[in-house]
Amino acid sequence: MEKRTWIKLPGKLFVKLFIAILVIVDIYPIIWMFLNSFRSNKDIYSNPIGFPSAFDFSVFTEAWAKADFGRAFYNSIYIAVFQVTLIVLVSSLAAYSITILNVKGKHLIYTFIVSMQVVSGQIILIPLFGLLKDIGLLNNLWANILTGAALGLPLSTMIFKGGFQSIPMDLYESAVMDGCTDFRFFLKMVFPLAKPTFSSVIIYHALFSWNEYLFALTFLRSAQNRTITTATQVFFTQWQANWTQLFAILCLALIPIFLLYIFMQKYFITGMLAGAVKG
Amino acid sequence: MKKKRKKLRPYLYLVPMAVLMGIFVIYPLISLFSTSFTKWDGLGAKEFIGIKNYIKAMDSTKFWYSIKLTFVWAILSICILQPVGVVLAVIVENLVKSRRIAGVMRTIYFMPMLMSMVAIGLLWQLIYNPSLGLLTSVLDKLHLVDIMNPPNFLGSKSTVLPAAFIPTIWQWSGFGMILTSAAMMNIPSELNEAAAIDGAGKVSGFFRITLPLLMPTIFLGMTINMIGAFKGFDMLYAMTAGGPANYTTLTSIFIYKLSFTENKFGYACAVSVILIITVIFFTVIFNAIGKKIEEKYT
Repeated sequence: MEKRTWIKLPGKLFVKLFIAILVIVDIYPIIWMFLNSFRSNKDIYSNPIGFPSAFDFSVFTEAWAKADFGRAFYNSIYIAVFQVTLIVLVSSLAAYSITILNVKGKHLIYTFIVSMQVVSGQIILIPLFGLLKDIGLLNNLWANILTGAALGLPLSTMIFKGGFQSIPMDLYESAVMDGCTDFRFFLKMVFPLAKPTFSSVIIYHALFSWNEYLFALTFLRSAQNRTITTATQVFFTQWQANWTQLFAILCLALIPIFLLYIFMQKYFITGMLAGAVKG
Repeated sequence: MKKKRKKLRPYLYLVPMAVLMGIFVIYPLISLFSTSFTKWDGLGAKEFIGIKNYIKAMDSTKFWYSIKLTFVWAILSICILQPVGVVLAVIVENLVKSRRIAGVMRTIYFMPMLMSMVAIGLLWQLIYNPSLGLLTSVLDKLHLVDIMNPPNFLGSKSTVLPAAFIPTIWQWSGFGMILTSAAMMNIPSELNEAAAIDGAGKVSGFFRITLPLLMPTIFLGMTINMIGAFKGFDMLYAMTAGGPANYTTLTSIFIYKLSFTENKFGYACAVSVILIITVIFFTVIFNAIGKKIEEKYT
């Protein structure tokens, strides 16, 4: 039987052009942002989509200094590192008890954890604000570390549960018979076997923490506690007329993640997908 | 005694979670509910006023508009984002012969997923700028707009909603594409080959075999998009600040403004409670519909 083509395409050139257009349209916003950071305001006013005449990198150092981006970077990294560490520890141990340790009532406990996913940051923003104020953590980076970790627990636990479930119970039972403690089994067997799961959760949650805005906006009010997200937004309100610098600050905020992504693409995609799919 | 300790041991591993969630999720939930019955400016004491906040919300056009907008946003996300991803995946799988180019496409389309919603909102604010933005310039080069009187995409009520939604499509298209591609790879090619032998063309093969098998994945993507839509705040707040004239004020933005601009914390709590209840309702109905569709296609 003759194989029928489903669309009569006027040649491969048309297809290649179509694909090229699709790619260009999708990436052009980012390219535009990048190119325009090298162009002066005057150039941008006369032709917003022109090509830069020179590649002067001083605009980045200027914008960095003006936005106090070094401090913002430090804050974002600080929050991300502690938040991810906390959430990985807490949720992996919780998932451990639900899967391998076979804690009694695990179905009920797990259902409860999963149902907590519906609670989003916006919903409990106000009571959290009040709570943090009462315990004196307002305008403290640890406010974001603890709240971000707490809200991310349901999803991370679900991912760890999925990852731990494939570890055979006989492995655990024979280890116990040999006198291995639960905790030792976790360290020596579970962690190495579930390394991909751990890296998925780490990547997913690190990205989430890095890009977090609402809590940074609400809880971290002073200028020295700004994160990358709030620093960028504040910069935009303060320097609206200086387009060159607006583009530059966006580049500074985004290029580190893009570079990391290009080198660790596989980890990012599997991490994001695992996080999204389990959710 | 030793036996009891052994039985309690597993629970020890749940304690950190219980503490963290208890303090920062469960307690605030309870506090949310109780504060919704009070009048509070965030500083002083809370004054018990019964269900007055709820009545105020029911009477407020701003509130109802924000709820309507939140659900419209969710429905748009559900209906548009995943289908776009499927179309892209189909294009990449069928029209792109080189594996390397397909990989490059996936890399590029996935990149916006890494950006913070704030960055996306701010970037697209620049793109939509009437005089200096990318969109006006491109349209001007194509002679589709008058450069002397450019359209104000984010400033006029008639265009702001579609304009505000497009960055969401830009961001999530890569995700849908990769999710669908991965699912398509799991469909054994023998199915379509057998259909081709029986005389089915590529198109009907897609619609009758591939697409039904993709339904669970598509539904999964839609669920993710829905959850993301309900959590929306960052992008719209950065891009339009809820404007023009509260036209893009989602309930989440409404809650934020009530609390931190108008200091009506008690009222905002009531609005939050109504929001979470309606979201749960919507999610339950959505999942029920999804189950029905899954039954039909599997």
